[in-house]
Amino acid sequence: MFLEARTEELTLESIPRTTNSEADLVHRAQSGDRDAFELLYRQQCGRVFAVCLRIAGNPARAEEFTQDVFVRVWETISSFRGESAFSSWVHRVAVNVVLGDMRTERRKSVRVITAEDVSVYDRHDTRESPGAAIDLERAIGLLPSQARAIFVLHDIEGYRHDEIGEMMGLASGTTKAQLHRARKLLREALES
Amino acid sequence: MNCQDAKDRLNDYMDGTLAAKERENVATHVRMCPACRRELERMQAIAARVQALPRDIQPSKDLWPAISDRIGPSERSRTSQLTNTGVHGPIPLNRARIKQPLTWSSKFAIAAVITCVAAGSIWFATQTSRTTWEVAALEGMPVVGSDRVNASARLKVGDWLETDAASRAKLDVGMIGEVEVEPNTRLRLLQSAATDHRIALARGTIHATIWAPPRLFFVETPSAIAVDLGCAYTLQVADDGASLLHVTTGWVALELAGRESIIPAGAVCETRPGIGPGTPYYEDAPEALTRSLREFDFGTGGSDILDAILQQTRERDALTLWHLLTRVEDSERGRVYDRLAGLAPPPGGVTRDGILRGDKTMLDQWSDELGFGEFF
Repeated sequence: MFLEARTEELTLESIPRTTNSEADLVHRAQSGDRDAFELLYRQQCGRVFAVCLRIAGNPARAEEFTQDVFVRVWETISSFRGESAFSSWVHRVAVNVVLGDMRTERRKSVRVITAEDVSVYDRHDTRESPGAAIDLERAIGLLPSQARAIFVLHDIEGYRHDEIGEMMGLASGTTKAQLHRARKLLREALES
Repeated sequence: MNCQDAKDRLNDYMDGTLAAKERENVATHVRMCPACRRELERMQAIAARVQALPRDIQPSKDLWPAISDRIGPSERSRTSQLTNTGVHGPIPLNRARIKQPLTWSSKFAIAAVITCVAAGSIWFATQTSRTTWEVAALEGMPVVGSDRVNASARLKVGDWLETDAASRAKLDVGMIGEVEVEPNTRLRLLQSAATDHRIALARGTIHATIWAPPRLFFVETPSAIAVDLGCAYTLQVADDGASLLHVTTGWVALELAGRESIIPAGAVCETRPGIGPGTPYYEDAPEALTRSLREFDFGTGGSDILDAILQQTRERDALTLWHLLTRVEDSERGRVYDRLAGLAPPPGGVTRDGILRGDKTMLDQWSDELGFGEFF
């Protein structure tokens, strides 16, 4: 009886036809479908928040930036032509949002990660022991803002110096010098 | 090059941005200078830790409600749109549902969905950001898949990269190294994960320079797998599947079906399909010794060949003799032991009887004494 009942339930008509592929969701979001956009947000949120957090060095600001990123993505999604992966496009928007803030606002308050702030890193797994990863994240968070941004973009996100220079309005030589400085400071912090 | 010159270039060396000659100068200095080698290793260790950081971190709260409020109401009714097109079914999550007070079961369900989505996005991030390696044409027009490469292209997992007689290419190994691809070479990207960067070299020649910790970069050939142990090397594969490995910096392991050779800088090792890696030897080994080893490893072998090898080995060939300890017949092991002990006496605690019965601890102790213990 149970098998018969299952057989009756499982018909072609009863199977949802949605695929929820990224291209599908993007197409629907471009047509104004906010539910599709919400799913895109949930797919991309972790990566966007991570890059915002590491460049900004402050979880509260990173959450604000993440909101800004997705609002901007929603406002401009019709211009996305699929020439790159949607995730790459969103990531680039995220980097531009955070760097734009750094460039124009030059916040007066010094952003440092407090002991409470680093708890944000407790929620994800790492290949290393959690303590070691938190120490590393803390050390990255304590780097000077420009050096930290360049370090995150180059060593974690994989951008090239010419790309970073273009995004930050700096010469490649400057980004390279700042990267080397960041690595030196990071090593000193981790080995002290 | 002095230490200061080398230290000034270690970052660029690690990033693979030095010109070939300068890179070789730094590699040579690092090989000779323990202090600079340690410095580079410390830098590489931190780089590896940074590489292992997750790309995905979830915020402490759900940001969607605030985003949803900011982007305003939907331009048109989703329900009517979906009904009219008849193509898409319902989407499982919507803001109205999330805004309602949640029961424990629904909280659990949402947490499960978010976990799955997070796992999916980690997978996606991995697929998009790490599974494509940059290919740069150095000469001519290499081919990626079926497309000729003018300047640069991306190599995806599963893609083939091929050079003809007039082309060369440079391949970035994720962010852990680079591979120069010589003419008439065919290789395929098999895997690109943080802990497993893997290509198949079907034929031709590659020069690999890896600045990551050991065992992150693998090259599969028809006759062995080359495992990077922190090094630079050249690997050549012939059309019959035989290969020749030449290590220029650090160490490389060659493995096949439980047979393993460890090859240090300055040494070479040959492999054959169906057999695996042969016995490694230094590149300055006498021609007679290399011929004998080839016959021992891939030919008929026999006691006479072993006699010749034992006579031809020099003190520097302790590497070769140590490998032979586990490759000769039990009845022949004593002769190899005696020759090796004569050239490089075993440390205290390592006995002839122990080695003859294949005591792994003693073999390891001896390898430590010879300077390659950390890899065995």
